[in-house]
Amino acid sequence: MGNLPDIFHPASPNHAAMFARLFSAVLTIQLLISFRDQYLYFKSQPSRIYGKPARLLGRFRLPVLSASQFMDVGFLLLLSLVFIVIGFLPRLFALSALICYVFYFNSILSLAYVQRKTNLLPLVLLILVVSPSVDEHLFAASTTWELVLVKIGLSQVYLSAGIQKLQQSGWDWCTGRSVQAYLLENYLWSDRRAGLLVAQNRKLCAVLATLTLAFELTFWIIIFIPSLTCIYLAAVVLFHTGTLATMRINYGKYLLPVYMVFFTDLAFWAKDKFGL
Amino acid sequence: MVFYLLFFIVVCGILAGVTIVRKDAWPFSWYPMYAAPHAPEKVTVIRIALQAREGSVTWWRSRFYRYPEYTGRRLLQLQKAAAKRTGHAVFITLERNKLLLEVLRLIESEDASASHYKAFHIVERTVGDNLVPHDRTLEIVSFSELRNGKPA
Repeated sequence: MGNLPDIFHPASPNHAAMFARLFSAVLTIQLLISFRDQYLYFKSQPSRIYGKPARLLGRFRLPVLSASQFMDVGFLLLLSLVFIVIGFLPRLFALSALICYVFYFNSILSLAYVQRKTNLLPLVLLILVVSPSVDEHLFAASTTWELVLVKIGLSQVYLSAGIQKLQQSGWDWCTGRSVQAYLLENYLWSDRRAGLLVAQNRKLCAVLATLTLAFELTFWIIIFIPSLTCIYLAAVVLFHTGTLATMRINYGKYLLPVYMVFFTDLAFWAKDKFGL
Repeated sequence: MVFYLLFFIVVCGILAGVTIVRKDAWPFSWYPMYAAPHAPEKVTVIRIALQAREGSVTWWRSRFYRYPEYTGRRLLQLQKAAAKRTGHAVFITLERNKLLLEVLRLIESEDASASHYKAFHIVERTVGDNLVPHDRTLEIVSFSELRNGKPA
């Protein structure tokens, strides 16, 4: 088990700064890929169907953006992320990206691959704003509490989902009946055969339900036992690929930048090896 | 260091708080999706199909697939409400028409060939014992009736 207080004592290299760059680079790519789609969604006026978007922190109603304001905020978000990637005033631009995130994503919150799926992005950006290490050189001594906090944020997504399943369905969730029903429901919506094929095998549904619950309830262990990270990352890939193929749930898209928290060592190795 | 320790504790506290209190405060969430118990025999969805002028019927598919799902869920809620509250039929029909007009707007904004269609089919979909979909058309609502505001 790691010694938690050590995460507040500086050590080299600067994992927080490396994570900031990796996170921003992957998020920039994801935004560029989906920018047109998100603009078209914004133009479709989703609030006329879904009603007003969620309040910030459950309290503050955000102003409605015009199409040009939406474009401007999106462009500023991209620009801020690019500046973080190249290491130009990264904390300042993390703050800029955080503000832009709030306005940009609030406007399209009902989009299928946004909804709760981008929730970790502002938390990560906030951590980057607060972290003094982010402004330092990549090989300067830095703290690692930032990475631990990001991992805790990731763990909360899975742990909370697992706890809610236990609270609402109990251990009956492992029988696979609910999974079978949700897969069938999704099939009726989408006519996707992958979901139906799984739903037709009740034992397979039970196995998947049990594995999902086990994965969600134990993901946090990797914070304390980093040697299990590879096993859990493989499980993450299987889990998100499976839910995407069978139920069209795309959590991977905006969790991928956050998952860069596990690849800072690899990035330093690549930087050292290839002189990037 | 005290500030960062406090920040660390506060963030952990908020994450734990939303999980325990089971309440969303965007962007913090308790992630309750697919947690409720469900049963295959209770699976019922309402889908909207489009009838073309020449008579063929196809499912309404949007570039943004949650639109058909959400409107289907709303129609199912309205259908259940109509079954319970007989005195509110006019309001429920008005609400349904308002929703279908929004669907029409979405179709016209996404599909240049929207003029080829003439009516909505509101279809209830269930699964039988052998997990084969069973479709039942509940209602046919013509576009002209919707646009003219006449009762369907």
